Amino acid sequence: MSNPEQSAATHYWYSDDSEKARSVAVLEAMRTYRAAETAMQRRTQTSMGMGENDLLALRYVIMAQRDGRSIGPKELTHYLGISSASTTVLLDRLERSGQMRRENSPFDRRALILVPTATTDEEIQAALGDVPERMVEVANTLDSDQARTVIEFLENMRAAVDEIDSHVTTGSSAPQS
Amino acid sequence: MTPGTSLNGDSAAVIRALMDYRAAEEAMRLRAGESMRMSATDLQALRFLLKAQGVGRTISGRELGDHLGMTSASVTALLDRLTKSGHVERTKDPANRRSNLVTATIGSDVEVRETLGAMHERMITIARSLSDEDADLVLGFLEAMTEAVDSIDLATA
Repeated sequence: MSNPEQSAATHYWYSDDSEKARSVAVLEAMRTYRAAETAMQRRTQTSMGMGENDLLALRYVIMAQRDGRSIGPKELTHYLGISSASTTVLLDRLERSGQMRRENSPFDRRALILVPTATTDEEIQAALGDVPERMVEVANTLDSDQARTVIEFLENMRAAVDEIDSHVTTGSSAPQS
Repeated sequence: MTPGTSLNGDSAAVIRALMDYRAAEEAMRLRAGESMRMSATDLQALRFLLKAQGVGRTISGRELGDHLGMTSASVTALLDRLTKSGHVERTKDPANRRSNLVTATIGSDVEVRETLGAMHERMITIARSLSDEDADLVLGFLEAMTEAVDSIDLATA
């Protein structure tokens, strides 16, 4: 984008094989990042104040709200893969700390929906925990065009993983049954 | 927000996109496991075995445990479960009688492909559709982020 001449020149030297290698390198880099992030969360979990599941739960409910969906305890239980008793404990904790509240669903009086307390972008950022300074520094090195490229890539990747759902038919070849 | 370093609109959106992706990925792992009637860890074990087998590597029970960060007792329980469901087979290591080799069955290869194949294809397509320059940008970004999270520990978090 910044230097088309160089890009064209570089492109000349890259055969199909090295183009393939480049995309493999990108996917490997995603995987490496994920592993590093998981390890970082394991290291810092205790110091961040909020447990991993609490953070995942809050993020999930806030993201759903951003997309105009509301989440009930049952869906959250499903998402976190924990027991409904553990979800109750988790929601009690988040309610006590003022991060979210349970409300009756406007559509079904017997159903509950989870409403995050944070509404503004700043409150949401604060609720989701401090972004480590080193990560902010990396994000700040991107100019607007570069930021757009990275965001678009991550959004496309997110759409790809969202495609997998638990109702996929695995066919008759499933070894068990 | 972290004091001292402010997030401008662009970088906040980048961080958000990265975290949204990670949250979606965590959720995908849980759902994919559910569709195969196994835990996310069981599925992770299968994927690790299939990937190793794909490049002709044999994996011992111990290596699998190291990869998953599990105790040998937990790995044994996991392998008992996956053996019973027909997803893996255990054989004695010919080079070391006291060690077990673990192999994913052909059936589980097919099943994992059916569950995750479409997603993998889509991810590969997305990565390939990047121009060389954009691929380098994304690569550099991910490497810098990896380095950043690697440097975070209890003292600095």
